[in-house]
Amino acid sequence: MGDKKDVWQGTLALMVLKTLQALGPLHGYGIARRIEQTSGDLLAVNYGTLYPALLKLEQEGYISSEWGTSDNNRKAKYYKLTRAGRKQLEKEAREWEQTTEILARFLAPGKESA
Amino acid sequence: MRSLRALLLRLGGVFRKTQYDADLSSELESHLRMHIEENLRAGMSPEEARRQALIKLGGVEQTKEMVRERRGLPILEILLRDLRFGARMLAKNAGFTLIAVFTLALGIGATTAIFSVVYGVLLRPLPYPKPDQIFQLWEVNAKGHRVNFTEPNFSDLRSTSQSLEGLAECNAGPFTITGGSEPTRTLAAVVSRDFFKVMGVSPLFGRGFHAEDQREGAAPVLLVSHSYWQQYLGGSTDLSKLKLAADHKVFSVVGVMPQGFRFPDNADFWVPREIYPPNNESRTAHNWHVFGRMHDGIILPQARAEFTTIAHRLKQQYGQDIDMTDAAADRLQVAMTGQVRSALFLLLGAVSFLLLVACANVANLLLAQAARRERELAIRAALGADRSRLVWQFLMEAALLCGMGGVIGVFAARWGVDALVGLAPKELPRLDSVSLNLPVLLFALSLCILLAAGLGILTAFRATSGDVREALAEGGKQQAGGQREQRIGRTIVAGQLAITLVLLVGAGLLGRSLMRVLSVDPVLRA
Repeated sequence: MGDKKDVWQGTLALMVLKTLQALGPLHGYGIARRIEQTSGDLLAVNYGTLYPALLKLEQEGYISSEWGTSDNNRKAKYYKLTRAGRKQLEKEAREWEQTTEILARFLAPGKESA
Repeated sequence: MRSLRALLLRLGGVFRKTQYDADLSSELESHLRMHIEENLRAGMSPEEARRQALIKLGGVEQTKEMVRERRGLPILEILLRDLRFGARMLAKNAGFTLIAVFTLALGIGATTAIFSVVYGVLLRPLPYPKPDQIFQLWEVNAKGHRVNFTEPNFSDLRSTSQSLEGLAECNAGPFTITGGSEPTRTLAAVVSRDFFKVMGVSPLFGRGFHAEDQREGAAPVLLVSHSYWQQYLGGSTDLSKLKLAADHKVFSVVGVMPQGFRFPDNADFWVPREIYPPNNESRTAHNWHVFGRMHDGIILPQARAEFTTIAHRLKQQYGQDIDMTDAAADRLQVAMTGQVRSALFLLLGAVSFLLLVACANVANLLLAQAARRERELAIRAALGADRSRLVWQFLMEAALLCGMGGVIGVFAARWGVDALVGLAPKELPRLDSVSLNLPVLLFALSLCILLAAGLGILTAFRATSGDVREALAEGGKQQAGGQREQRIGRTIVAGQLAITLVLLVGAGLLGRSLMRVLSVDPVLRA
């Protein structure tokens, strides 16, 4: 993976992987909608963030893509989690949980002085 | 691993642009449509649905650009684009390009040719095993001159020294040889027992000298060089019948030395020293060249110190009957090339100056060229071209020029090396090892890179350092060159004159010292 500095891209990648794990093969639009819905519409996913992230994940071999037909008969490119992607998802999810846990301890009020 | 895979894919992405672009377009298109449909379902009017979707998703073109950057390797693409653009610019100014390439080719070619001689003669290791352990040894007389060895001194030194793997004396002289396809007068080396051990060379086939060949009154045997064997002995592998008459003796040929081995002095025969009566008395008959090989791990200064001690002791012991006051030793490579060393380095220095003059010429041409393009550059800068991008552009053009110059120069050097070897005096040692080999080509390559970087950066900084507004105004007047160009042009011309002067003086000095080197009488005066 590598790009640790770019937190937003990093978290977006994790969200994409998780979405694909939950819903199976999905097109870019579907991924974007799902992420927005899950975030309670707190996040807005536009082209400019989504497609470079998808391309990067594909180049790294975590997802693969092929053209297919959507529910309402429209041509769309479907993304699918690869085996490497599954592993990466587990790993990143674990790391992310750890990070949030640590941060939560720091941010939790009063415990230190008690 | 993952990033390597991504890198390779991106490398591939550089070359399959259009297909990827079309793919991305339809993907974004389908995304947009789905979004519009969803908005319609939510009850918006068609225009509103489309407007909202477009606002939400952001610029299609920006996204394409971002994806493109991620897909390929932007640096590589820029590089290729600059190269293409540079090639177009050079093709457009064919006259300028031709002159610049020719000038560079001349400079690079001459420098490469001379370097190949310097490398072959001075730098390339001798073709013997562990050549740095081999040295030549001289007596040093009371006047401090190096002189050949006398046999008793040689024997004493050989038996006393602890640092030696082997020490051999030899003396080469012309023999009249009959018995081959035609009689020849050929150089034969009379060599003592350890000679081939010192050199680390053994016969290609046949045998070397045995102990029974190396005593007084033994049946005479000799070894022949590969070239003599081919030319006069018919290259026959059956040596048993080969007899050669020389020096009132009939020699049996017992072995053939490997191709290229002609040491010392381009000898064609090697004859054991021991078949002739020894000279154990005179410590003032300086007849022998002495070569030695040090034990592994012993370096020359150590050996020198020991030889000096031994020489001092012998001097004390024999007093007036001995000339030797000290001993001197040099690595064989240095000893072989000592006379021409400084001349060759001087020659290399001279062609380097020639190259500098060539560079100054090309730099001047490039600057004139850049001045003509000032307006173009100013417009590009005004349109937002990064200065580093413009510098890069100049670097690419210089690289193209130097690349072409280098290729032509190397071909010219190939021809030039043959000419040089033909012209060189026969006394120049190791001429056979002069060729355009890998180290020489690497030298030429680094020369090209250096020149490209130098010329490119010089022109780039000159051409991009100006104020855009001023440049536009100046260019607008369609002047041939502003004050700044004129000043820089004058500086370069002055520099060129200076270098040319140095070159002329250097050439004069070089001529003189070459004359001196060549006027050294190669005949030994005993």
